[in-house]
Amino acid sequence: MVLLDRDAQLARLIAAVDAGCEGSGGSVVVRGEAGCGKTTLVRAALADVHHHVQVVWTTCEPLAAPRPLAPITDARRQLLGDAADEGAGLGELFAALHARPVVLVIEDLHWADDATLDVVTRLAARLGATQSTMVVTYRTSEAGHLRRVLGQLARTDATYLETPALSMASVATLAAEAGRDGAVVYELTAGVPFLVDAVLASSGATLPASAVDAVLASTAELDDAGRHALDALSCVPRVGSRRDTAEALVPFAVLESVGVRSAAIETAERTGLIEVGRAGAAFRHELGRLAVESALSGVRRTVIHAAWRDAFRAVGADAAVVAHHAIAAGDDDAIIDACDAAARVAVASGAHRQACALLGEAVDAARRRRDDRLVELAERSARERYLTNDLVGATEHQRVALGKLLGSDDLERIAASHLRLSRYCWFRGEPANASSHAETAIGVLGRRAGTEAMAEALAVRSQLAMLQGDRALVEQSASAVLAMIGPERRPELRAAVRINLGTVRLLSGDDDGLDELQAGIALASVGSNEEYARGCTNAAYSLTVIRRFAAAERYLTNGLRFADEHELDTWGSYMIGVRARWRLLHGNTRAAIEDVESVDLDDGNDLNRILPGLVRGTIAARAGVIDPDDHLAAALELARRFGEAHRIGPVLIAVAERAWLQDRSGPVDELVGFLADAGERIGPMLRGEIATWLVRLGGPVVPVDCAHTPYAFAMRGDHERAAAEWAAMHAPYDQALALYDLGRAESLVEARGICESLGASAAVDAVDRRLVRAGAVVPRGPRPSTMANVALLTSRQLEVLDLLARGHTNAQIADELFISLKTAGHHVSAILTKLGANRRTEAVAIAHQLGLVYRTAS
Amino acid sequence: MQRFIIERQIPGASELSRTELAQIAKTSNDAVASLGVPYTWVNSYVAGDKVYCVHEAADAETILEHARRGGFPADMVSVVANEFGPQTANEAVSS
Repeated sequence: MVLLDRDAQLARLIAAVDAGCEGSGGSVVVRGEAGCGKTTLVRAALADVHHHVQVVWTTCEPLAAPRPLAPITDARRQLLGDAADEGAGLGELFAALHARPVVLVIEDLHWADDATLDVVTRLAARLGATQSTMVVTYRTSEAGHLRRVLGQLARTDATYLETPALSMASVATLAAEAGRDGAVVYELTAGVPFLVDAVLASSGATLPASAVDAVLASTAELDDAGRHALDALSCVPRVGSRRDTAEALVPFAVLESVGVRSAAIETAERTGLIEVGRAGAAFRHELGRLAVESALSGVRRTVIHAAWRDAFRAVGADAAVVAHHAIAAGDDDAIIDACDAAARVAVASGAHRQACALLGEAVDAARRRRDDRLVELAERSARERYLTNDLVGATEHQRVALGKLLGSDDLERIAASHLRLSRYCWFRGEPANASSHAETAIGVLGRRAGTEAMAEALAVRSQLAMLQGDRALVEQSASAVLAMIGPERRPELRAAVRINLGTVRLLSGDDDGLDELQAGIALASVGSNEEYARGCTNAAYSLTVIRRFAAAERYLTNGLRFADEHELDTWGSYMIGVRARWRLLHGNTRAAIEDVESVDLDDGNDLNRILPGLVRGTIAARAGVIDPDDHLAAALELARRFGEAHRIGPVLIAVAERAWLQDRSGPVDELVGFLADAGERIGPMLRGEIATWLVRLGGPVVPVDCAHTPYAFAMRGDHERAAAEWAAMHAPYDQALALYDLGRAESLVEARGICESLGASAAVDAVDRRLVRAGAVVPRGPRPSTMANVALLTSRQLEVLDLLARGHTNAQIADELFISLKTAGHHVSAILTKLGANRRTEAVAIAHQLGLVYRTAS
Repeated sequence: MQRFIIERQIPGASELSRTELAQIAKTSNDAVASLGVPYTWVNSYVAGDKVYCVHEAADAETILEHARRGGFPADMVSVVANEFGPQTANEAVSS
């Protein structure tokens, strides 16, 4: 294929591979439209790579549901040969990339399965310290679902190369060489290199009417056998996981069984559209294949796919390949069999999105066929959809299963179906429907008290009650569960109810709750990873709410490590949100920012957005900076959707605090209504906090039970004691608020100092307003807004600031800190934004003024 | 006794066979019998992905309890406020 207009890209690609050999490995992303020569570019760049660099070439497959991990498995085989241990996981592959210089090419990433995308994401993060380079290519127009992996690549400073269509001038040059009219060729092909090639290769006095016709024109001379060979091959997407190897070709034996003989293949080869190797034949390019396939009639395509389905099944081909042809052939029985088998493979390797696609086909086919397997397929499909966060689809398919079960006398299965619906509804933010399904499960089981099925249903009830803060119902259902199952059985169920029990007790002010929670976590350590992570999360969350920071920290450290080791990402990112809140309450604003900035909010889990939103919005409000995304409003909307008082309360308080900071009237009526509504469903700490804010906002005094919290003193007017209690708990911002409430000149000055140190410049202003009203002298100091911004700098940014002050350029900073030039640039511009400086010199001046950097001898 | 219309979302409801409907009816009758309070199942209509039932009971809570015991979804429960039909036109003429 032609290689024009590509000099710059070629140079950068070669440079990236060279840099890798020197020890700073990384990733290269080559993107462009189909036929724009991505492969040609990579091939040309790697043609002359040094002989000690191993090039590993893999490609993703254009199947309806690609074989999970196909390119990764292939890479491992190429790197490790027969020594590759199929079960060894990523470690072995990474060790190989670490051991010697390798260029790992993964082509057509837009077709990759989820498991492969996961691996690519993780590899990208780890290549920096190796001599290896990963080169991925993808089609720009098909990259919607690649957002996460591309985000990760961007964070690791990947090199980006575009392969745009050829310019008109380049097309004209090529056309002139072939004696053709450049303008006409350009109009036909829009400069897409593959099509330019095809058009220039087609002879004939008149040009075909469209670019696809250019491909088809080359097939005009074929006899019937040759045409059949071409048509048959056009229905087979390139499936081997590697280009240029026998594996990518359809074996002659399989071709024979769909009626394609070698003589016909020879004829078809003359079109130049297919390549023939020793092992078989295949289309050279996807565009050519699609052009031929698009010309087939629907009936003919169905017949050909049915033949391929049988041929591939007969030779024991991969389940995903058989499923692809079964779906295209449209025979329901075959679809159910093939998709069922392929989905099992996909699930086993963690490719849940592919499993959803396959099971979706199987469910539709089973519904049309009224097949007995419908219930089982629909339940599996629902579960996979739940795991990929498609909760609407999960609910729909679970209801399909339920509908088929309703007439059966398998009550336990009907109950289990309702319990799943309960869970899916809860994650959709429909707590009322979640409760209704749980209650139906209990109702169906009726008098089957004492069975494990009933215990499961009651455990779900206890969890929903815990989330609603209904302690009486948690106590009642949890003790019923513990009475039903003896000490020997179902540790995960006993763990679940004891965790629920401990959490609700702890949150309602009962310190013994922690023992119960700990007992639940201990049970989970032998019964269930999921429950263990949930137990740690609940403990950390509840202890943070009641400001028992030291205990909360132990559960956070332990829980985060556990979630990481067991890849429980949802719990891991939930705990990061809890830790951010912990850090904020504990006075470590900077670390809190680092947490919320590190949480991946694209993972689609709404629940995990609430705490980071609360923390971000609170920090912005206290610093007096504008929050363009209004995280508090978003967090409040989400919390309301889940409808649970313990989630809504803190966000509502933050909204009230923001009004106070901005010297506006706060949402007094809303707080009063919430307090009355929530009643006992929120604990004494939250009740006391709301009541105290009502007073601070000039609202009514609402007597609440907040015994054994510092708010009890505040409500009695003893703010001095409240401040002392907060100080003892190491909750500095709460302490500053109590000092503000105390209102004496010296306590206001102390509050001011605390707010300054926390970067809460809007709070400093609020204190100053009160000082002025009291006729006191407002202390002089650095501009509060500047102080606030300093607190917003991350520790990495402080390091960069220090180097800036020494007069380092971005390149020197990059060298010094072992980061890329681009990352250094990002840090510098973040520093300028946060310090409100227009130039580097201005930022350095502010830094000196604030004593943020060391003065050097020079 | 009040009359209620209950909407149940069951994707594929229209595909249920007579045999399956017969089994569901038995489950429903058993649930009615187990309630021990006045309860009448008047009729049900399968339409698309939904089943609409007309039941009579003292209150909505009893309707929900029947659904819970039968394992049926009950996505919407509404009291029938009034009933009318072609013959209602005669009432208007005579008044």
